[in-house]
Amino acid sequence: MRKTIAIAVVFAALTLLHSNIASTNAVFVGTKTSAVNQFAGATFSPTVAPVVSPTSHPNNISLSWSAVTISSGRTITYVVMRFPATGPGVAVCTGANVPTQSGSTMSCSDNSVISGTAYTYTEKPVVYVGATATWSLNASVASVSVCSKKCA
Amino acid sequence: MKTKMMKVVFTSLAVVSALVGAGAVSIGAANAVFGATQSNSVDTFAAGTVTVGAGTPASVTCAVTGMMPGDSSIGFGSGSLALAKCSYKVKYTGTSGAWLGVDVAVNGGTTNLYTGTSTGLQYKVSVGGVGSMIAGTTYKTIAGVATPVVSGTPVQNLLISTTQAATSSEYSIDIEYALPIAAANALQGGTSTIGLTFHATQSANNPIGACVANQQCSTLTWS
Repeated sequence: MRKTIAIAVVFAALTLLHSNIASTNAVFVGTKTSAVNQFAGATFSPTVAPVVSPTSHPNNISLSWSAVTISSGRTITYVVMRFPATGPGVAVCTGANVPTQSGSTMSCSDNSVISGTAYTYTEKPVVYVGATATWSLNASVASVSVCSKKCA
Repeated sequence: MKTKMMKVVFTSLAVVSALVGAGAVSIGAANAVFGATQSNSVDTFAAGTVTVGAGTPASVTCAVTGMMPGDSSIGFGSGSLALAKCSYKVKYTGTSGAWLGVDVAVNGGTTNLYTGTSTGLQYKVSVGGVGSMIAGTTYKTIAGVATPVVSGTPVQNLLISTTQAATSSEYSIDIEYALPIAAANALQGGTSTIGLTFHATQSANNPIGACVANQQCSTLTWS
């Protein structure tokens, strides 16, 4: 019995020594870490589309609003919509009548109004890449209602 | 009985200690017996090294702001801006043969420009533009399975080559990027970062097994 215990203890101790040697089986390594590369998407300023200010004239309604910029420096196109009291809106200030910028103010004229009808306007800044509309802001809230000549 | 058993245990431990220390004891005894000693010439054993350093020309760290849908680095995507790619230049400076790997960590801000989808920021990570370790939003496991790169969870141990690195070998780990034209409005002002950790591990007694270049090599001992 004593002999058996003695042998077991010696065996266990030697096993322990051996396992300690095995656990030092590490490998040589070297590391080097890069600086962090950063990417940020462009942002509009302001982040909410400015409200259109309409002015009534005898045969048209002139429109103006504050210009928007984008941090990428791209050109911003404005989609201007006219809404009657009821029914769908239509795009205005297109073709040869696109908005122009003077300082920080955008302006254009809606020349296809019906005399005596009340309208509201919105504008939406959009950035085109080629022919594709990419990032934009939500359309502005509706302007005050105006008529060319006297409202019916 | 118990006391006797303890005695046996202690006696046995003493025997083990004696065995372990036997070498030192016998050397000491020999010094005592002989009056003169003779030493052989000194044998030198120098371990090889596994180290990495900066490569040349200098690395290019990217800090790209104002990205728009359609923007990309040169040669990746068809962006309207041809921006410079990022590159991380490293040199293997160790003396022992080594396997080289890269860890890639993609992270994002409150609005993450990297969405892990085809409409978020795309990354291509390669060794000198050849092949790709990260292709858009995925990497390949050791089994060749395309697996999503998840923001905040580094991809570890992408193998650079199945050829052992030699001293002074230089590598350019390139990062190309593209923001797809279909990137959603919600990504305006979003941010993403990508960092690389280049590492080497000894090749001796560390078989490469079934690992393939540009794929994750999870069977090597890397640390």
